Amino acid sequence: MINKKSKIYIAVLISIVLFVPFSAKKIQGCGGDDPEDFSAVSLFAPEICGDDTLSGYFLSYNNFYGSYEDGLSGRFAMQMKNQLEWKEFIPNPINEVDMETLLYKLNESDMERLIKLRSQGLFQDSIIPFLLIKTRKDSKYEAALTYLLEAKRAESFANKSYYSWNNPDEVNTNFNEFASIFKKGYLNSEFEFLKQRYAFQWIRTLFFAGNYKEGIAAFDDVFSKAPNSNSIYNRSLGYKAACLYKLQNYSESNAIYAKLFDESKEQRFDAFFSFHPQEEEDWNTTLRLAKSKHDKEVLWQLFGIYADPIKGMKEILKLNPSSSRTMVLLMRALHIVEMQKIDNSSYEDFYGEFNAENFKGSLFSNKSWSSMPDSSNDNFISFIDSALTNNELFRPEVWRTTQAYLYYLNGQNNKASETLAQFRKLKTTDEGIRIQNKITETLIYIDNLKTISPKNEIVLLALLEGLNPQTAKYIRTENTVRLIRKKLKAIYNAMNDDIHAEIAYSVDNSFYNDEAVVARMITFLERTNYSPMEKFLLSAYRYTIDNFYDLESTNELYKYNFEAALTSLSRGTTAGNYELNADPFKIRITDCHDCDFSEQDKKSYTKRSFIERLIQLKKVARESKISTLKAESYFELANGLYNMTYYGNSRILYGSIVFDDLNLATREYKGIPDQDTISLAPYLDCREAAKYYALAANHSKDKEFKAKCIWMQAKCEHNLWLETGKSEGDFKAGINFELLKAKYNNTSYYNEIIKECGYFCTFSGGENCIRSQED
Amino acid sequence: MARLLYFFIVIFLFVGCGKTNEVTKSFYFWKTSFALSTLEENLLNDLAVKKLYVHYFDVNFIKEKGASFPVGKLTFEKEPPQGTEIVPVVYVVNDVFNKTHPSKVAELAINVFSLIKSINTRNQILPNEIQFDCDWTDATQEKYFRFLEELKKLTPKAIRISATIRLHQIKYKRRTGIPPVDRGMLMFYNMGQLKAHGPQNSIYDFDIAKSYTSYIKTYPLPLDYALPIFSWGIWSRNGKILGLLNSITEQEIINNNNFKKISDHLYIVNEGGFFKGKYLFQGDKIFVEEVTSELAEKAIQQLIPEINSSKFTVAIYHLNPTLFVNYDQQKIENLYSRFN
Repeated sequence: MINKKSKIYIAVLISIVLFVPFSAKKIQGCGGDDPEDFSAVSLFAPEICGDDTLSGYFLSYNNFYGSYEDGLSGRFAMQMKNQLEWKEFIPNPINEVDMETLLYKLNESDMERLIKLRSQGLFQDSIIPFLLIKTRKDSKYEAALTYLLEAKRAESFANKSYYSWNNPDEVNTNFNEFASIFKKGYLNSEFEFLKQRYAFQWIRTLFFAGNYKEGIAAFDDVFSKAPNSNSIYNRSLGYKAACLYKLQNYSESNAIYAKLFDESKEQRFDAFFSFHPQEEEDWNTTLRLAKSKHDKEVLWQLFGIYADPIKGMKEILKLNPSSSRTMVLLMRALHIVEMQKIDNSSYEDFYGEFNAENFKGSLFSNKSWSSMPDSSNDNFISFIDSALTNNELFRPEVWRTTQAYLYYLNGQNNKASETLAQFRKLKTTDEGIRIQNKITETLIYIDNLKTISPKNEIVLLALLEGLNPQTAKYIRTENTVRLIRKKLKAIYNAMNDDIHAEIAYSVDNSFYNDEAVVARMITFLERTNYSPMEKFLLSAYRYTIDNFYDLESTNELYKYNFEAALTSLSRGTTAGNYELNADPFKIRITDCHDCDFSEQDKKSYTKRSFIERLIQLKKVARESKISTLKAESYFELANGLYNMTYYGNSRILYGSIVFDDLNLATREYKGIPDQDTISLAPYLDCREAAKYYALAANHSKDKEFKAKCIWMQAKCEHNLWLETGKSEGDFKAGINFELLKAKYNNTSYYNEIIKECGYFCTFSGGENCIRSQED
Repeated sequence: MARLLYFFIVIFLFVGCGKTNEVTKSFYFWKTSFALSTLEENLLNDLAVKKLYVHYFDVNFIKEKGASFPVGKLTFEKEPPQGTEIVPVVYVVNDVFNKTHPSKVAELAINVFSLIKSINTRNQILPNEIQFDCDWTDATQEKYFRFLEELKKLTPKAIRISATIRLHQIKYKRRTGIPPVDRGMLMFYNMGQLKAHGPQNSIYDFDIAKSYTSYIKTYPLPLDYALPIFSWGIWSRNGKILGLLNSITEQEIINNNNFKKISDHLYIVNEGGFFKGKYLFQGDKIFVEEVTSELAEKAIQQLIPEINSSKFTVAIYHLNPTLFVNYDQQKIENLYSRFN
């Protein structure tokens, strides 16, 4: 059962969590609805394998590891290659930017205009001046422009955005006409460069027309005579594979995709996306279509990425014992095991409700490789053992490093230690490999600890120090340290040392529900003599001592112990120094926080100066002998108390240093809590303000002023009604409404209330009342 | 004697006529290209099915684009059979409404309506009804209902708007609300939780359905009824579900030597290999769920007493080649006729 005080602690601590700088990354992750990738969880850096040719296929929750458009592969690379080929073809090459514009930016009508101008002998144009760089006709140049015009026309059906609200069938494309133009261009063009491009367009048009057989025949007709490796050949080959796929000739289609995956770095990603064996029989046929050992290796590598990495590696090694193609598969297989075994999400720090399993589930739906059968782990280890007996094995140190970590993941720490010992004999100078093994060693060391003694603190800190790379920056030190902190927390908890456990890894705010625990934490944080281990633990602890002073101050403020609240702030250096969004002593007939926030020339307050003002007002109200001053001071004091409740313009005071206090911000969506007047959280309780409004009214003889005081008391009465579980049906006017109507109906403030608050207007029997948003 | 026989015939016809419902027979068509096979066309002809609920597209929120778009847009490769009423169906993923700002709901409705209209115009379809399928929740109710209201504004009055209704939305109508549409299509299936190894059939289960059926009669919208005639395999590994193998029948699994039966409807993979476009590891399991004609009969028996109108559509989900594995034409005809 959480008591009232505890609720404050939870809410404030949650808000502090959101504020501290080191949590910025997590906030971004949540706000952008973009969950962490596996690389933010895993402890094993795949880069240690030393083969980055297929690094995009290291395991990731996303489609590809790293950046898709990394300049080395993908569509951007295809575009670059195409541009280079064009630059070789067009005489007197134009610069890269202009070439890009010509090929990719000008639309169909631009091209028509350009061709028309040139045909008229006009070589100057303000819109596309660079394209008229050649000031006389040139058959090659004109032929190129003619081709580009037709190519751009074909974009209407061939380059549609997949995500669009257009109807795919809306435009009546005359595929026959397009096919005929491109075929004619292929047959008649005098330039081989353009011939091939016309052929590509022809084949592509046949694909989009659904004439798959003709598409295949066209490809074979054009390219069987002159296969080559330029971009247009590979792109045409891709369309042949697509035609085969549509005709359900999956075997041949997948064989072509494998070839493109291997040979064309520009088309590798597309080929991978298109590779889809359907049945075992067609996959076996694909294997039989492979003409060489090399082709088979490629197929098994692709199979390993797409389906079963262990089987893929086994088959590759049968074909080529020294193949480097195993590397990407070895890393994937290990990561698939790690994904199942390691729980190291950083999100649980802040969002307990984040369900990584669900997230992975939605991403990996129907992806075979997303897990391996439990039995595969043992097979994996024994497979590495047998692979290591092979003297020709590519980078055995990577295999050994993988095996050691795999043993660790399987809970076989002794075996892992033995493997590490074998690794040391290899005497590698590779820093990445060395630190990766150091990670395994550190994990084993921690798992063997029952307590943290000064002696093993020294060993542990030395191990941790060894995890920081000089050059191998890809090493996943941050993830590793997070897991180590989690493990340390468990050990400290087992030692009943809750403070060290908390600073080792702080995730659960319920820890701060106990004021005694908070007091011990403050005592600990006020110390200045920390051991090296404590310094390490504190280096990532999310709270500062000032956060706790601020928290303590908030607690006192909502008990209305203003002096104590100020004392707490004074103990820190920055506590309470944040500015409030509105003047906390200003009130309105109907609350409007946004209006208060945006008010020009508003009086500025910090939490600290707000409390100081409360103290001052209370003093004046009590000590002054002048009634009007007493009344005004009580009134202003009451305003401050009103505004620090949930209904006031400075409710962030409860959220401590954070504006968007989690509890407050989400409250509307959770509905109004049903509470009684005793358990009502102080930030929802307006009664203290009401008390001072009553005192203010008592000390004044001014009817207008009194009306204002009673109206504010009415608002408090209404707020209390909303908060205490009696909010069924409409608010029945309380004593203050009656009082206003009976005694103050001749004041101008009364009339202002009627104008602004439709509810009160209706209550008072008014006609044409407005329904204010706030009432 | 002849007089007596005549008397009984008249009485029989009179009583019989009094009980007859006006049932419109229908199917759902849920693929991305419309091209009925000869078998399917013959089935529709022979059963005199003149109404098809045709899935036009899904609407999903596309993270990379930061907006919602249509996915899996239908193309008509063949014209719909002459005289068949086409009801465009749009499935809106519930998450769309989680992600759509309230100020963008009207725009979404315009986009959806324009695309439906464009597909209709292109294929000369004049619908009498448009249906929206969304498994809305308390959290998305407000935006989904506003979306439907916007669509109603855009749609000519002669065209009805209908929405699919799931059983939980019938039972908890006070919480989930009643969609602002002309009719509801009660999906009398997908009522249980998917489980890796069963044994319950998540598509239809008598006991689960029982806890919902009593609420059908009092639902404030006129209802049509969708019945499941489909099957799938729940693919799992290490006890965790990996996905669904759509339109798999148990007979197909039995006929494949690479599967071994380990309990009712549950099969284990003998050797790793590709199957229906998926790579199954050795030890993976497939739990087959299908609605046989006997089970469909049971569902109908359970549903009929809860129907409180005499004019409605019965739509079978869905028209596809595997339909004919468990059902011949007569069996399907029997299903429809049970509602008369």
